[in-house]
Amino acid sequence: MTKILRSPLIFLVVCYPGSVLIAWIIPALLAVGIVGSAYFLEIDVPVTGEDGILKAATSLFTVAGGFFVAALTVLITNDHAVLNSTFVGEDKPRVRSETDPLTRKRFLSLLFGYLSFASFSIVVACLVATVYSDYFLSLRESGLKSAVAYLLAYFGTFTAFQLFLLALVGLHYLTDRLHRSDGRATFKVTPPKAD
Amino acid sequence: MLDAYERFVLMYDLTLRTARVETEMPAFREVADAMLSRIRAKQATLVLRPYSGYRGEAPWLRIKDGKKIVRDGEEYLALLFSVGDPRAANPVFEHADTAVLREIEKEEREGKAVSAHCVISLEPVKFGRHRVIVEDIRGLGKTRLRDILGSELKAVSETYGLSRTNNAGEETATYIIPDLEGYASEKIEASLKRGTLSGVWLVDTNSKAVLDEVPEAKIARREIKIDVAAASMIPKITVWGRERNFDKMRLVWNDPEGTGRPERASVDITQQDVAETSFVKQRKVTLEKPLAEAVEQLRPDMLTKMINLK
Repeated sequence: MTKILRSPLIFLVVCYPGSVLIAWIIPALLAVGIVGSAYFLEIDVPVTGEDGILKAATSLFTVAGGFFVAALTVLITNDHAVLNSTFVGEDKPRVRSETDPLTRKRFLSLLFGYLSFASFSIVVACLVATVYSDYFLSLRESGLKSAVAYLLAYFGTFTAFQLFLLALVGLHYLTDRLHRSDGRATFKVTPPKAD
Repeated sequence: MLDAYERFVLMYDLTLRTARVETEMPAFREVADAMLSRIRAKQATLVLRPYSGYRGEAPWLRIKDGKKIVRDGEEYLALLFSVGDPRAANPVFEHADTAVLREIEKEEREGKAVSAHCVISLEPVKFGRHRVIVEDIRGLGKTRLRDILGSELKAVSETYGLSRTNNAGEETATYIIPDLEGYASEKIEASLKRGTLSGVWLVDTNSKAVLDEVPEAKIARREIKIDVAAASMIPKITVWGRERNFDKMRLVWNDPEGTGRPERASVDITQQDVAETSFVKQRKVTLEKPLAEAVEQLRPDMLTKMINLK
């Protein structure tokens, strides 16, 4: 049961060159930069209401989630040879703890599955935050609550940047890599086996 | 003279790529099968360029024997390279007591032969890179080994139709290009720290100084030797050399952990940091039975000793 629920998160245990940098380090640095500058510059970000960040995030990630699900559907129904083959080159992506080679189709399915899940999670989180926003805003003068608010803002910003950068990985494949040669040279005639 | 009981071997990395970069080639295990089939059909021969001004035949390179061997669960491709040189001097033996010389005359279509055992690991250390141990034989240096391997891999690619699909979906022929590089785990700096520097040369291979020269004579290269014992001076010499258009540095040093023979390296100082450059490690192999300069078949005892050095 838990395996089914964890499936959209499998992408987080896929090892590929630059995975830690793209999925964790750059989003973390960008989130620290944005939330930190908002704190030090004392920017008063509107949270609720028509112009509030929660409403904007809900709209944006609903659309993004829809796009990712659509991309997932296209991938599943596509029979492209390059998509169906395994990766070439050094440090081929692999799911940690799995030994079978990963096809490009599965890699992209895991990627867009995670992106869909993360988008809808942000939407749900924004809806929950909207319900509780009045309570948090009433306690904004409290130091502890303020710290919690910044922590939540940090996680929200981190996830948004992680989504954006991982979406670029997916777009690299959809816009460029899948339209190029498979990058594999093979013998037309199988050489005879020695001994 | 080549010792019958002791041989030196060199450690290289064989790097393989296709003529079209960013293309993955078939596993070397599959390529090795194709090479062995050519060796058994006695097709693995490369005739070299003839000597300029010499009317006789050109020298040739050959892979005389080859087989796959397994040691401790790891698979290797063993090859026996040979060179035949019609211009080489006849071998001569002298009697210990009578001092009579016995010369062995070359016959028609014969050349003086030397052979070198070689072992290539079929397990890549990383993508397209395989460990190689090869007998260090004069006349079968890195360039010649690369030439015969290149010629064989091209022939294999053509015979078995190595091809890739381009971006337009068309099949295009390609071929495998080999290269031999210094064993990547040993840096010059580490060996120099243990050893004693005995010679540093700066070489200008692009020298085009023509002022006041005899028209028929051209300066091919400019070379200076610097007597220096301290390895710490190398970075300063490198900077000095670069400023004066020297592009290569040759180093000779003795490593106490080495074979007893001087270690040598040549570094392109315009591109590489001398200390960080890998060099070709050499090791000594001692045999129980004498090994002739050239043999027809791979000697199992030699192969075992070579693999044990890994």
